[in-house]
Amino acid sequence: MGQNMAAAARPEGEIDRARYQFQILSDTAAELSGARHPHKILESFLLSAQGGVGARGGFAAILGRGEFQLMTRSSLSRSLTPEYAKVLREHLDALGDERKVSFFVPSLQGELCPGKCELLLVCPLDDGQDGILGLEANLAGRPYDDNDKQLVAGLGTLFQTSLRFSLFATRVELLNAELSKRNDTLDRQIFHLHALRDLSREIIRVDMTDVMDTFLLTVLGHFARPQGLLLLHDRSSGKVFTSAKGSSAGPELATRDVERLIFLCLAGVRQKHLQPLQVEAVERMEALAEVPMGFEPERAYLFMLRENMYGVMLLGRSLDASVSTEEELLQAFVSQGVMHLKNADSFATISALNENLAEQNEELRRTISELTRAKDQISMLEAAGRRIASIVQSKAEGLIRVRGFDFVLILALSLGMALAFNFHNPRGISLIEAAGPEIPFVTLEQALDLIESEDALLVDARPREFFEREHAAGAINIPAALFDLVYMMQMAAEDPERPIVVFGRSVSRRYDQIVAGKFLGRDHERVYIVKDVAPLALDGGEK
Amino acid sequence: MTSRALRILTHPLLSLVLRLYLSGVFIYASLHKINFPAEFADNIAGYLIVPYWLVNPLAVFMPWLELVCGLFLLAWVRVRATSLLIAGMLIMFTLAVIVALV
Repeated sequence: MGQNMAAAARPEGEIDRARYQFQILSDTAAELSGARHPHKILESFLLSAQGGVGARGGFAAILGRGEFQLMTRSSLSRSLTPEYAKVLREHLDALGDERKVSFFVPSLQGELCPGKCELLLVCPLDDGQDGILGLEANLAGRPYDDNDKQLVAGLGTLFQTSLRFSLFATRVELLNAELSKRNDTLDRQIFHLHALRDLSREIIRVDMTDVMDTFLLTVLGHFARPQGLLLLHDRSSGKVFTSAKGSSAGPELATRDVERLIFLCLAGVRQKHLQPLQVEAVERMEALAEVPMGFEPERAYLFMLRENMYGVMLLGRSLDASVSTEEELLQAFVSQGVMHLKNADSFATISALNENLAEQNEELRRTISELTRAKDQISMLEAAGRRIASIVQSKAEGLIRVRGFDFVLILALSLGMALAFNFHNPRGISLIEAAGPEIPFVTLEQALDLIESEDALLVDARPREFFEREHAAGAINIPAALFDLVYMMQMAAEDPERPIVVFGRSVSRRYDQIVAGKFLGRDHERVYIVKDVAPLALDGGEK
Repeated sequence: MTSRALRILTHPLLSLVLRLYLSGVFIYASLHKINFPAEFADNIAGYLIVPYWLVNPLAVFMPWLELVCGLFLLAWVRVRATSLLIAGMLIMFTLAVIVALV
């Protein structure tokens, strides 16, 4: 009611003016709603504000950290300088962060402003930016009143809202553009990953030659390169693996050429000291022309599989210029391929080790079998040895043992052989002497009587040495062994009737019996034997 | 010193040498007596220690006993018994000589 009464009290001119200002605000809002670019917004804002208050000129700008980032202006504000922007920024920063709504800055108006702006409106934006509106003096020469300021403030609010929206839209567009760019990068990375996955799928092999061929073909196909050469050189064994594609015939490279090529590649890479699985791009390609390869390589990669095993991949020119620029992907391909080559080499090494191990196992098995047989033989020989040792020991014990049987054996053997030999020996002797003829015995007295009365011959029948040791006086010695000789020499003419007294027997031999028998054999009839007398006891018979 | 002498006396080589010598002596001595038993019987009788009825059997048997013992000793057969028999014969012969000398 109060307001209606106040409105009713206003003069007609003010009402028209207010209507005009509302119309301006409405038109400006409609215009700004369709504006997306900050520059258009600034222009609309400046024109609406300038026209709404009847300003002679002005400017609208976006003030950044220390400079005007975007500006639109009329002729009156051409003298706006970066220094003024800095002064304005310092002044606004001094107000702190509480600035949310539009406000006028009277302290920088007038003479302080290079364009001599009578109104300076600041519209805080985001991220430390501010929208600035400067209006010069009124065309009518009157000062700006509250209605003018209210109109400008309202326009400032619209300007602030539109500019924020525009800036947000711009930022969203920027974000969208960056997102698109990142999507492109991601797509490319996915493409790379797919390509590497395809490479891995195609090189799932274990044979080195197959891996090299597949690797080279995949790289050539993916990067549209018609010619390529892949070389591996094992310096420890001197072996060279070659895979060539695209040329009519693979290059016939000798080991010396391969070593030369690797040396040239090593001279052309940036990192001279390669580590296993390290791939280096050859930067100086012109030196490689020394080695005949059948094509002109455009790219070359030197890599090291393991100690003393180097490899080189040489690629010809690409048919697709866009593909040839994908250096990073190519490097990744080569690195991935080198991994597969390393796996193939490791597999070859493991296979060789397995074969060697299998041979060793077979040899070990044979050795164990032989050892088992040898052990059995040794066991058998040991058993035989023990048996022989026991037998030998038994025999040895038998040798050194004293048994009655041994004596019996020796004595019986000796006796048997003695009897047998003596029986067949022509000089053998009888074991028991024959009884011989009956020869009468006489006593010592009778013997002495025969010697004394009948001049009996006293014969000592003992051997000569016994006779010489002691003998009876008058006795003659006729040993049994020499009987025939002595008889022939001394007694051939002896009277057969003369009595003969024979004596001389020992415990071991009956010499008298033998000699007396021999006398009887010589036809002597009176032969007597005196026994059990000492030789000297017959001394009494001596004449 | 004693151990060294003992080591020499018990040396297997010395034992072998003595065994060969002793067996050789007995084998050699027996051969003649085996061939001429009557002569050996007279020798036995000369010692006057063997009864007359044992002289001839002894003259036939003893040489063969010497020969068998010598061969056994040489062949290392029944060594203990052979050695004892040879030792007994040596003692017997020694006593006979002593008796004959006395």
